[in-house]
Amino acid sequence: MRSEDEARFRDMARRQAVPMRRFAYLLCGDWHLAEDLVQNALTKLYSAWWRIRGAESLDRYVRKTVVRCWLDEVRRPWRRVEDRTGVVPDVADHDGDPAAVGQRAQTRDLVLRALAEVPSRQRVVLVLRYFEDLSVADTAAAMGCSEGTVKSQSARGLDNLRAVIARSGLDSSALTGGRTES
Amino acid sequence: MIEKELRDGLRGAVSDEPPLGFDPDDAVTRIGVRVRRRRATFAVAAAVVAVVGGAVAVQQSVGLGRSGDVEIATRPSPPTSTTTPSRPDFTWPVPGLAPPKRLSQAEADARGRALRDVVVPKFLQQVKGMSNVRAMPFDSTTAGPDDPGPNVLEGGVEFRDQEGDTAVLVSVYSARYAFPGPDQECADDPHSSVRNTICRVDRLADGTALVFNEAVGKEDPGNVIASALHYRLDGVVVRVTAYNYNPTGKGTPLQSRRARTTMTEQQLTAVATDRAFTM
Repeated sequence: MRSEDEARFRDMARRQAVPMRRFAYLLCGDWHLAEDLVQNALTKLYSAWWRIRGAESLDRYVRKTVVRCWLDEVRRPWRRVEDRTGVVPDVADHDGDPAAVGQRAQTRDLVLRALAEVPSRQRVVLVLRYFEDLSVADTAAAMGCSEGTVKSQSARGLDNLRAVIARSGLDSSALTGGRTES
Repeated sequence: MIEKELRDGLRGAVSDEPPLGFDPDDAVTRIGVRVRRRRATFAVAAAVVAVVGGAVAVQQSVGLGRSGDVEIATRPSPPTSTTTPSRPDFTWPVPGLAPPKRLSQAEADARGRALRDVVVPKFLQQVKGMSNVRAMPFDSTTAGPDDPGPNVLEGGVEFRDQEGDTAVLVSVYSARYAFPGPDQECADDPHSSVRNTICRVDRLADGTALVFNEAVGKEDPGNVIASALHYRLDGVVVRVTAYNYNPTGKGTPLQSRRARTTMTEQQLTAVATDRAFTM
């Protein structure tokens, strides 16, 4: 790689490392694995940099690479059914209102535990749609599938989320009664 | 609305993230070195193959046998290739095989349910004396970038043996997914978290191929994984994997490990070659 390309790649890595890790964490539920995924994704991006360096939708390509790395990871048999729901960290919340803190912590814990049990591709769709706030078309582009698949996986993912919450006996009051967006 | 709660929950889940555990600059430097080294290795390997192939071709063209005697060539030598398939009797992907029709999600889910119904009886035919035997759901997922899927069904059996809870996992890959060939499956993957200790490819009497593979963890060599992969002539690949630990974890970091994996090569092979497992 030429030095100016390497400098641009380095700049991209500095800017994207944290958002990539956040995104990866929501897919895998483990900060350490999320960092591994980010570094794997950076390796793939480095190899393909000559092809994508001028792309207008670099962010989309970056997300797509993280998704690919995550899906590759879950396809490994010894990874596929690992239970990561036990690693939700107890973290300090800096908000002064104890009730709001408790409510947020409860929602966060509930979402992470439920998300960990949703099939991996549905989880990817939910994170892209509801965390990255991508449109159906952008989600389809990031996943390399059709918009119809995104809609169906999104609906199915939300249904599964409700089912997991109901089945696990967790406090589901915050997440009941909603319907899927079209 | 669940969408709003989901958005809030996702934002909250990353609101107290720990500091980045690696320096992006250092990571890019390391990646650059690794990629350049890998490219250099491939270039050297290609050059070696070309030189060896060329030497063999020259040797054959002058009729130099192993004994060193020079034979008089009475007919032109056949064209030589610089690479030779290590399994000349098994070609993968199966030549001339048309990819099957793409399954809808509902069709794939229905096949997953069918597999879930048969997996326990098939397991119990091979493995006796286990308790709490339960089928795991077979999820339909998508493998590879070239097919929109679904093209894989993944599930298994959970059970308890003398050491505790564990599981055997079963993956059924449709012919729509370009599954790596047997030789590739046995090749060392530097990015994998395990290292092969045994990897054998056998051609079966019906023309299919079977790979038996045993691997240990690179970080923890005490973890042993054994898989049987059946490469079928309809393009389907079935992988059955057993462990000497509990692959489902269930949040218990300290697990008892068995001396060997919970299924033998023979038992894994019997399940992997069972035609009830297909997609």
